[in-house]
Amino acid sequence: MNTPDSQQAQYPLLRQAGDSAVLIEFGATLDLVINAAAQAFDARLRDSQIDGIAEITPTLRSVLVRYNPLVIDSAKLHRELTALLDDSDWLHAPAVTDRRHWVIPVAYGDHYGPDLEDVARLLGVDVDEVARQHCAQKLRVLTLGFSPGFTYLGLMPEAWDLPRLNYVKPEVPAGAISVAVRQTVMTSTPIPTGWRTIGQTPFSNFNLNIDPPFLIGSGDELSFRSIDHREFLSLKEQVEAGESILQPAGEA
Amino acid sequence: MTTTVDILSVAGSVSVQDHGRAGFQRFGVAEGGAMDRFALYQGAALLDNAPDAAALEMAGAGVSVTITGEPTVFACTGAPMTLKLNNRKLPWNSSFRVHAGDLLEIGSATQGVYGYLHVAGGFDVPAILGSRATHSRAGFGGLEGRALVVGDKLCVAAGAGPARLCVLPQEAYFSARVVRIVRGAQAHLFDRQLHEQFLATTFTMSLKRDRMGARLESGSTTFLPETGLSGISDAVLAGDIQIAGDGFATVLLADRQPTGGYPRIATVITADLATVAQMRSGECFRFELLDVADAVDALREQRRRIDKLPDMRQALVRDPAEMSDLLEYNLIDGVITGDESDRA
Repeated sequence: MNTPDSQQAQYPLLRQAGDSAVLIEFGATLDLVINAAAQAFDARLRDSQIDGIAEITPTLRSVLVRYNPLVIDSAKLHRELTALLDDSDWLHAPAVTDRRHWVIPVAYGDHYGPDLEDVARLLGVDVDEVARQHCAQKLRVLTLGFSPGFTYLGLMPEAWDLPRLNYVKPEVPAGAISVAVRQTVMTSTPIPTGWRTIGQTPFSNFNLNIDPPFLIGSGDELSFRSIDHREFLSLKEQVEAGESILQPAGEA
Repeated sequence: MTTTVDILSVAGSVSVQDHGRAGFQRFGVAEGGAMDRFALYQGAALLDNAPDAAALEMAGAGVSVTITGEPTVFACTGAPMTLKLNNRKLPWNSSFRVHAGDLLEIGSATQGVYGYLHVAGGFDVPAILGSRATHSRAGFGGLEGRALVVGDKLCVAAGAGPARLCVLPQEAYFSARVVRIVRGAQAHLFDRQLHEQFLATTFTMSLKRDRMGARLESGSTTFLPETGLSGISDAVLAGDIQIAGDGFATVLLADRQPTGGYPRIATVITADLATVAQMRSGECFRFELLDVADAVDALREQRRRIDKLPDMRQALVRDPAEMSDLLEYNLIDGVITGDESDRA
């Protein structure tokens, strides 16, 4: 972990958030171990069935617990959460068991990934090598946020610690695959972004024609496979016909 | 036969809303839903609707509509707007009968921002992820995932309709000049001086405000913490007050992004979310710090008031829509005590 042990020792930290939520932080930095701790605690808390909890949201390094304070008061909830937190060493907890591994088809470069050449220049390799490296890395779904089905994936090797753009592009399409700060993000709705877009997938992690509309959740693992223009169009057609184009490649 | 509501003109931004879709923040979907939830409960009480009935939320100004098909009952709540049925003025916060071909005109808000048009049974749009609320940015929910435009037709869900027409008292929160807050999960990022300054500052609601959030003006006073931006996004709550890179405050509201990286100095108490949403641009107010127990007491009091709404209804002896000389009358029975002698 990047954080000195003395600072990390105070975690997990439980903080009241407004009058109806508690935030549990597992660390101060973006780190795979801290992220896994948040996901493990999220799974445990979902199983706990504490009366009055309305919603549990795992994020990059924390878990947000929204509750109805007219059903459970904050002191009681804090006690129950503290008991659960004390129950395990979350930073060394075994990985969540129901994770799946998905392989996402991506068309790299051209109009699908207008920043591919820029990323190749920053990495000092050619565009084919960018796609090869991007497909070679198994990534974890760190969290979903920002907009429906928007998926944060990490972490790429150190060399991929690329800065964000110094401007925001007004819109990238659903399915845009963009990179920065050792992460890859996958959009599911058109959004503005300050990240470099290297490709596009015909898959959408927010597809209201499919139940459930969100196939991929926090903790799942992903890798990418390079597809050509023709396969992109054919898969896109299947998606628009309401077909599911992804099958889990197995347990993560 | 069913009832259809036809949109003839649209003045403000109008969308279908209900209590929103909780439970999907882990997939990047913020709860959304009506900016003023209390007004939704008022509409449900006036029409004997289910609590999850969808209404039209009107920002700043309303719509003109007519109906086709069966007669139905409407009610208007939230920010009071000028209201005319077939060119006759009607009182806000009341229910009234509407027939095919009638012209209902809802004009500008005289107080507050968000007014609501409810129909007996609720507006019948598909429930997506458990809610009929419009999520405009992602383009789903409500009517085709967007704000209403002229020519739209909305179906009305089948329902028995209310047993009687009635009125609810006007609420005081439109004129509130204090918004209550509690410390948020990131309050520790701000030093004591910034917290004190925040509570001492008179804020003005800016023009930069919508369903996502409301930016607040504070003159040259800013609140940027020395720690700056953490850069790591965390889950965001309705009512969180974030301090952007320029040091100014924004209250995050119904259609907020589900995650955000700006530090948040405090969180508006749940019971006052409607108060902030209904604050008009240019109005001044201050924040008052509560502890969590007091914030929960305020929420309990609001819940008690919501539960009491059916008892607070007062029956209208006559349908306001059928009275030509409405404004000369006291509309409430028990005050008129059944005295028919002054009937026009």
